[in-house]
Amino acid sequence: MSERFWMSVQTALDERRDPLGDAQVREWLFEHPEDALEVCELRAALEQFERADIPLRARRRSLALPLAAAAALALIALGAWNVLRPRPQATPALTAAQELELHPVVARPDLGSVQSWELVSACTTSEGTITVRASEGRVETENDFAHRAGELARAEAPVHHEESWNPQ
Amino acid sequence: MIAALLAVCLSLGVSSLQQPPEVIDRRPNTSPEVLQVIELRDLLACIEPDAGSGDGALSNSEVARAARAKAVAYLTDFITHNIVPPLTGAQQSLRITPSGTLVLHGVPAQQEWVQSLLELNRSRENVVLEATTFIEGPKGSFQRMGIAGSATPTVLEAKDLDRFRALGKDDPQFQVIAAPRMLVYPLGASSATVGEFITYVKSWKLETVEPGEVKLPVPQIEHAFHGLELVARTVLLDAQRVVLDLDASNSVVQRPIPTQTVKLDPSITQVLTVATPQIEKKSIQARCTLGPDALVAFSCPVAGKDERELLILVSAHAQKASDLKATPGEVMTTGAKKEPAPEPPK
Repeated sequence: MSERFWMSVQTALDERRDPLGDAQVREWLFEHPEDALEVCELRAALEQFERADIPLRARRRSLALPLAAAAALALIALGAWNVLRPRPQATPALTAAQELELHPVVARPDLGSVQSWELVSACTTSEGTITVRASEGRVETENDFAHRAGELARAEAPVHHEESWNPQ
Repeated sequence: MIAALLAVCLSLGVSSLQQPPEVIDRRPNTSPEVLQVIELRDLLACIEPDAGSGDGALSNSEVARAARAKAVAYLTDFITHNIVPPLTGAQQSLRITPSGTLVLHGVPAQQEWVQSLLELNRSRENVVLEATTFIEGPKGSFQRMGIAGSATPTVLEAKDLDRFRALGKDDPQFQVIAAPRMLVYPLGASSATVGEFITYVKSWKLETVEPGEVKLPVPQIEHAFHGLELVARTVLLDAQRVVLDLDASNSVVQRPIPTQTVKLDPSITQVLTVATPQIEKKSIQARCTLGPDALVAFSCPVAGKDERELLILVSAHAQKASDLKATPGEVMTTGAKKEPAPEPPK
């Protein structure tokens, strides 16, 4: 592809045409802006050569024109490079959990104190309740299975006998 | 007559001999301890509001007596463990009678401390603002964030609360379940409940009624709680520090609830069923003293979810009742009356 691009540039210059008038050249330069300055320098050098070699034939041109063209080309190249340049992946923002794991909270015992604490875990089923109590350096377990068995038996064999009576 | 007089004199002499001689120690009392008696029935009523509600029935009075005993034990324990300077030796003692009288045998500094504590908590100019946040997350995750494991409490800085509350915003693994804020007078208890009460038939009772001595099964109703519950009692230790007694729990009632058929009497042909719910409950009970910038955090297991963990964050600070302002999203209750509705057109 690069050869085809330079071939197009050379052809345009040979035919005394502005290479930037060629659509293929412009398209290439938009994709490869790094070549734009080289084309611009080549064109300016040829113009200088033409004036120096055959000064009488050379048309008198203002110096401002090639400079403006070079500046325009440079601007186009810069814009194209800015649009087409490979951008680095944006760093994803940390979630609150990741941020907390990265910078954990710090205990501040000077602000308060805990005099006593106990973790109680209880599980109640049809057979009874089993309770585990845990605190610093101590674990206790208790259950009331025997008590609950008695309750079930009482449900099957009623112990309450109540009577109500309405005189009317 | 003379004999009678002699007998009276003799008996007087004998009785005077039997009484121990009165000894008056006129040396100055050098003991630094002084006896002080303070009435605090009103404070005990704050701790147990039902303590004085007995209406004469035996059961109610027993309930009231038990509530009073509980309040007495609580306040006695609190003062004994926090009094400055601490009680030392047999000469220094503190007790509260069941009728609500505090008897302190202590040095003047101790008496001033007790007096100051009672005045601070009796005043209705101060309120305590509690904020509790329940966050559920994967097991072990809170330990990686700096919280001690195995339900061991960690005291943090109050500003850390915002970092934890942000967990529920951008990570589906974390869920801020509830964040109740409660306002309570000193010595009072506040509670917050998030969940549902499930009503079920616990058992059946057989009653024989007239006419005809008909035997009827009567269901006995019971309630099971499923959700989060928090009960907190606060005591102002001084103008800055609050002592918090916490009971935070989470309960799960397994569904569907298992049932069981029972037979009360051969004459009852109706099929009687009772529910035997399986309830799992995890709770944390703690007493902590928090300064105005303190936050206490507990991580505890979640009932019914082995792979999950619950983080409970609690802060409390005293505030002047007159300085209270409603924060965004809250409603401030005031004594203002509603604007009267316009009269309907005639």
